Formats: sequence, C-alpha cells, structure tokens
Amino acid sequence: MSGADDIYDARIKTLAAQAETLGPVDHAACRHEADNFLCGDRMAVEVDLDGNRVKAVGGKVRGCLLTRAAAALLSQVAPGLERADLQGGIKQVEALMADGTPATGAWEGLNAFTPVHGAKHRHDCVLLPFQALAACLDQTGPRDG
Amino acid sequence: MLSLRDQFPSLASGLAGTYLDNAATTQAAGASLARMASFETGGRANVKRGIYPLATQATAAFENARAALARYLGAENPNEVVFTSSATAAINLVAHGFGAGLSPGDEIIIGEGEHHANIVPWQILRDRAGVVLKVLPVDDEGYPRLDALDGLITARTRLIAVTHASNVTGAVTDVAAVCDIARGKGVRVLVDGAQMAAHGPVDVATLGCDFYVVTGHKMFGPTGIGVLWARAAVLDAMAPFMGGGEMIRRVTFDETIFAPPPHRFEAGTPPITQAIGLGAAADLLLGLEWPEIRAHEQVLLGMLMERFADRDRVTVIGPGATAKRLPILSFTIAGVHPHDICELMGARGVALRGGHHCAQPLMDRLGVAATTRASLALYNIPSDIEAFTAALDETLEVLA
Repeated sequence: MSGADDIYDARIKTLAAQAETLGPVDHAACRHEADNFLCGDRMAVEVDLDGNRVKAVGGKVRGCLLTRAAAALLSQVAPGLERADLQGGIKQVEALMADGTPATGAWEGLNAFTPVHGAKHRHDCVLLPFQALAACLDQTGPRDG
Repeated sequence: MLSLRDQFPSLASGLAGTYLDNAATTQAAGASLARMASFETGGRANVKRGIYPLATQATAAFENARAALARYLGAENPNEVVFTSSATAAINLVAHGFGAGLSPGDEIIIGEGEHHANIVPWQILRDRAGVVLKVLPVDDEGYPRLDALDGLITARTRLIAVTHASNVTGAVTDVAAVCDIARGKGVRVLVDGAQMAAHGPVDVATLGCDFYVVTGHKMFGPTGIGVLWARAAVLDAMAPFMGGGEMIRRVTFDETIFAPPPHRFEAGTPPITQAIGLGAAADLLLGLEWPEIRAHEQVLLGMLMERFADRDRVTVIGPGATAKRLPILSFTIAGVHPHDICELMGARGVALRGGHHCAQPLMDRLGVAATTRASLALYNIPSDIEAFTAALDETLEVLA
C-alpha cells in the first residue's frame, strides 16, 4: 500500500458513490458551472435559498472520485445552514487543503479529505465543488435576514 | 556499445520508473544531454553575430543542429528550418505570419481531433482577422474523414491544419492524401508532427505539406525548443511574428528591412543550447534502425491491448492494434476516473496520463470526458507492460 492509497479510504469512496444522487434543485437561486483547469472536470452547483437559509444544494458533477465525494458532502451538509455557514465551509475546506487545519462544526465531515492535504496536485479536485459554490453565491449577493 | 535503453540516463538509472507518458514528454537521450553540457561548459557564446572563435563555433554548432533537423524532417534546405520554443510556438508563428496575408472571409480547415495547440491559435486568428474556421470531422476511431475534405474546400480556403498523429488515439493521418487534395486546389497544409517525430524520421517532401512542426521534448531532446519547417517560398512570403535583434538586415527609425528566413523568424537570442541538444537527438534518431524499432513498438502495443482484452470494464478509445497508428493507447474503465487511476498507478511507479489530453473537441466527439493514456516509445520493454498490468490490478483493488 502506498501513501496515495490513503486518499481513497472508505469514507471518501462512500461519499463519492452518493454523488450519483445529485441532481437539480427545485428553485435555484443561483447556478454556476466550474471547470478544473488541470483536467477539465466539471461541477455545476445549484443553490435553493429561503432568505439566507439554504434549502438545498444540488447540481451535476463530472469528475474524479475526490470531486464527486466533495460534491456529495457539500450537498449533504448544506441544507439548513445559513449563507454565512456556507462561506465558512468554503474557508474550512481551503484551510484543510492549504495547511491541514481540521474542519469543525457542521463541516467536520470534511476531515475525510485530510490525506489529500499532502497531495497538492489533487487539492483542486476537492475544492472544485466549493469553488463553484462560492461563484454561485456571489451571484445572489448578501441578504439581510 | 550501449543498448538503446542505456542511451537514456533516466531509464538506465531506473529513476523514471515504468515510463509510459511519452506522448507528453519523452526521456532525454544521453547524447543530447552530453552535447548541451559540452556547449555550456566549453563552447557557450551567442550566435549569428560574434566573430571571435568561441562565437563562430557556437554559431556553427547551432547551424549544424539546424541541418540535423532538416535531415530528420527530409528537407533539402536547412534554411527552411526555423527554431522556435515549441511546436505550439511554431503553429502560433504560422498563425501570425501566414495569417497576416489572409483576408476576412478566407477559410482555414482544422481537424476535429487536433490538440488545442492546433485549434486555439486559429481561433485567435479568426477573432483578429475575420477568417472562417471549418472543422474536418474524424471517424469513430479518431481518423480524419478525408471523404469530407473535398466538400469543405472552397475558393476561399487558404490552409488545412491537421495532426500527423493523434496524441489521444494514436491514429495516423494520411497526410499525403490530404496534401494531394489540397495541392489540387491551391490550399496550403500545416501538419502537427509533435507525436509523429518520436517514431522515426519524417519526409516532408514525400508528404507534400507546406508546414511541419515538431517539438524537442517529444523527440528525446530538451524542453523549450521546437521547430517549424516550411517550404522556402512559403517562408519567403511570410511576415515575421516577433521583432527584435537577429532578424533584421537594417533598422532605422523609419523602417526595418528584415533578414531572410530562417533568421526573420528567430527574433532575439534563440534557445541555443536546446537547439544543439535537439540536433544531437535528431542525429541519434537518424542512426537508428526504424523498421525494427517500429516493429518492437507494435509488439508492445499488442501486448498492452491483449491485457485489456479480457477486462469487461475497459474500452479502448481509438483504432485497433494493427491499424495505421502510433503506440499511444487511450482507454476508459467503467466507473473509474482516469485521474484516480493515474494517481494510484503513479504511486506504483507507472507514469500514465489522464484527462482530456488538451483535445477537448475530440473528447466530445468520442463521447468521453477523459481517458487514461499509456504511450510507448522506442526504449520501452516488455517488463514495462508487465509492471503496468500488475499496477492496474492493484489500483482497481484499491478503488473497488
């Protein structure tokens, strides 16, 4: 077993399999499609908002196991969170990739991606759904509660 | 005498591992590295202008490299060889230089299977000059559909730009047939030979093309060097791409009179060391027994494809083993992403490439988002195929 094998642990594989259920949301407040510059993988994110509260995150993912796993986790964690919590999730995944800072709170599940921190060439695979989310939220602008 | 494999230091040392990413970059020949080191340590000077011995020797070494590339490409006149920084740069040079003579509404035909390097420069020209781009479709195996070519050519067609061999499928284009059709209608042909050049000398005269581009790092030479070959008459008629020193006859504040080709297209100090290294690679390749090497590559390709034959989930993208093709093999495995394969294979010492291979329109045509690619070169051996197979088995176990 090599170090690279650690990336593909059971939690990641389980999450990736769950990406199969991703689909469009009913009333998308925003939609954004992002490409991974490295490989051309693609993630379309849609967010359904009720005011500042997230009703659903969906979309379509065409990507590697890591991208699919990250997309699945995003869609599972986001419902019920506030917009600010999504922004917090984006910051947490960026910090996890950049320096291995463990994720906390609602985003604790991101820690499944901790082995990817040591594989810089794969960071964008994990970040892609969150980059698409950030661009998607930028379209809606901040709202008062 | 060194074996062929021993002439590549990174392979002889084992440091390159099981190297099957030759379509991206081949390993450098020891002869190329040695000639560059010799130049840098005992012959370094600028070229073209200096008249002290070190400079004249440097110029001679540089021009000898040009002559070696001319021989490798089957060109009679070394002055038809222009050094650039890459094959991409060579195509961009043509897009600017040849493109400067085009008018809005003139047409360029590009292949559907092209590398982005042979698509994007023409799109930039289209957007700048108003030329019209048309696409020559490929068939299900990735071969350009020459039956469609005649119907695409009109009185406004000025250029056909096609690859000699696909970096995705390995399919080899019948360039001579393309040139036959084009010549009859007064249309120029540019051939992207980046992949082909690693698999033996080229004969531009027999092909009948007008432009041919190659790159050093895909033919066992250094990075940072490429070549544009073009017919002398075509180069003579072309405007320069970049301006600067070394490419002029006379400069005043009113005007500049340009030097003749190839110097007109080599503004500034060229990549001298890399050109000399590429010349050494060309000399090495010219001395090899290519019928034997091609047969060897074909045997290894057949072995690789046999390993796939009994795997239900594997789909080979491109032609069969016996078709007119290079040993560049793309494949998909159902339910497994190429980058996950490449990550785990890489960790097991097998260098592969996954992704769209800078050929996204071809990916769309073939109905795949990405492929995994194993590409062979003259120095690969049967044990590389065995290592590939063992690593693939382990990889699929990890991903199960």
